[in-house]
Amino acid sequence: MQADMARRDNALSLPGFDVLLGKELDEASRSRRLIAFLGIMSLLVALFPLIGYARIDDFGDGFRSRISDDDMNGMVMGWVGMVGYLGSLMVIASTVDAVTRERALGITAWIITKPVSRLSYLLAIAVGHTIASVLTVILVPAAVWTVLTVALFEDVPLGRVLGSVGILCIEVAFLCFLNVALGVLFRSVTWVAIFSLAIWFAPTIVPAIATLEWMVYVLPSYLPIMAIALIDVGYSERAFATVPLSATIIGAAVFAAGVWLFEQQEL
Amino acid sequence: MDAIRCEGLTKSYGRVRALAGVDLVMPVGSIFGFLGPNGAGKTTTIKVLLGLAAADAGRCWIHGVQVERYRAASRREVGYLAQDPSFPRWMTGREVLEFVGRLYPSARREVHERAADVLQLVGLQDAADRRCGGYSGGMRQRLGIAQALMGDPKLVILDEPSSSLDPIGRRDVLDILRILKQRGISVFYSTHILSDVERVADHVAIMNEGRVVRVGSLEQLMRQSAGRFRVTIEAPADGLTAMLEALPWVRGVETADADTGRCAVLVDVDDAERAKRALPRALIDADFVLIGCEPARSRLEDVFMESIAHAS
Repeated sequence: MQADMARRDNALSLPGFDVLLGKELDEASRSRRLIAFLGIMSLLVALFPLIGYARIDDFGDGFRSRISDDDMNGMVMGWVGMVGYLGSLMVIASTVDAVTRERALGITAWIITKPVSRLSYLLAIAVGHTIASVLTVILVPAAVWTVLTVALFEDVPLGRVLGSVGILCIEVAFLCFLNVALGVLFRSVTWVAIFSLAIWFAPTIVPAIATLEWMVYVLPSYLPIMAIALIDVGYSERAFATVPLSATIIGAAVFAAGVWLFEQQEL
Repeated sequence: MDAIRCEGLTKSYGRVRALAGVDLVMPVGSIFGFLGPNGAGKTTTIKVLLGLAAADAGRCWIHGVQVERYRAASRREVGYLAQDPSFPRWMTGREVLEFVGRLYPSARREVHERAADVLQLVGLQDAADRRCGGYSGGMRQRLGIAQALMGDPKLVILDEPSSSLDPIGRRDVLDILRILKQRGISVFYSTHILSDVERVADHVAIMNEGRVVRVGSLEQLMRQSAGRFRVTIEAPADGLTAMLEALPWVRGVETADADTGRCAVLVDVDDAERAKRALPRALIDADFVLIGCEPARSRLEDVFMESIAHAS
């Protein structure tokens, strides 16, 4: 019996994870904040192809228009950049209180008294917010942009768009896992927001960071630039691989530290 | 096997010693009143039992499963109600219960039926599909008890379950505790309301300054504090109090009731064994018509106050 319990209670097992993840997704689906972000982002990305189409002087023979590569790249980079930066702010806004709010209300302690592990609890929050944010800030707006752009223009570089979307998804996941870990460290939403923004915008806040050339290859803050640059290559190819990889490693390490700290904390 | 067993639990917060060696055994199937003044260490003990806090030293078991080693497993057969229960405001009462039920592998298959059952038990069936953000304090407390029962627990730990309720709500909670006992569920029940404990508990532990200073069956504790006698005489009772107070081993005299025919007083004595023989003799010698002289059943409040005073 004890051996059976030990197996089921192993630190790496995830008792209750599926149920906790279901709760997170259910909560996200009822969140007015996320619905507002979804609407705003979808509307904004839709404007790029619509305005681009409205500016065309000569439509030629068909409904779909052919524009120059530079114009097409500009249109793609426009929405990728907007999702990369505005989207990151939306993700930070929707995850700063992911841990702190439930904890302050006593809901965390209530859940932890059930047969779940602390790892299950934190992972469910991080994965749930990642799925919800990827859908609302990236995938649905990207689908709106793609449908409109393909309907209105010829020769849309869908392969590179897909690559950029992939990088943006890593960015969102990084921010979600980072904010969950920060929520364990700090009990106040304000501090989570300050540290999250400071980490994310470090190269902008501290220009000296940007002068270190190797930072371009490792700093997760460069993910939006990577996503934009993938459309119109301006960075070395190595950085396209190293930045997402380092973001994944750093995100996982920060989250693991958060889980360790959470295991030690009294609730 | 005991429902709860603690051995030498200690825990400090900086220089403050919250638990100073807690030893406790709770029999299976009992309603166990867990008493103590504020800051005695009751909530810290509960937190350690539930794995919400780690003890500095000592061990505890729930139904034979060591809490420190198997945190999640030890909670599979435990339902818990916090002092001020809080639930996700966006969920309805029924959704809260079904969410909790799914967290218990044993209850997963029948969450709908089980939720309906416990909603009826706590009298919340009419509000089950309302968001719990709009529930009153009493309704939240009932929902708290209901969710504690969702996993079909063998043990329920309740932290001040009736402190925020009106008298009707309190009575209902006590009725629910009795039903749980009938169903064979052990109830560990922390409270300040001693009269409630007297009404439902069969075992009691009293904590003070991080230690369990009294533990045992309620009956046993009442008997241990039998330094009080109830004396009934025929009226008139002039001079009775003065005569009793003059006895060197009498600590105090209190009028219990007096009607036209008889008078009853409660006499607190230093030495119960001596008083058993000497008190009737003294009354007869003083020419009072003695109807009865028997050890008075102490109130839990007396036991509690005496325990705290002794420990301090």
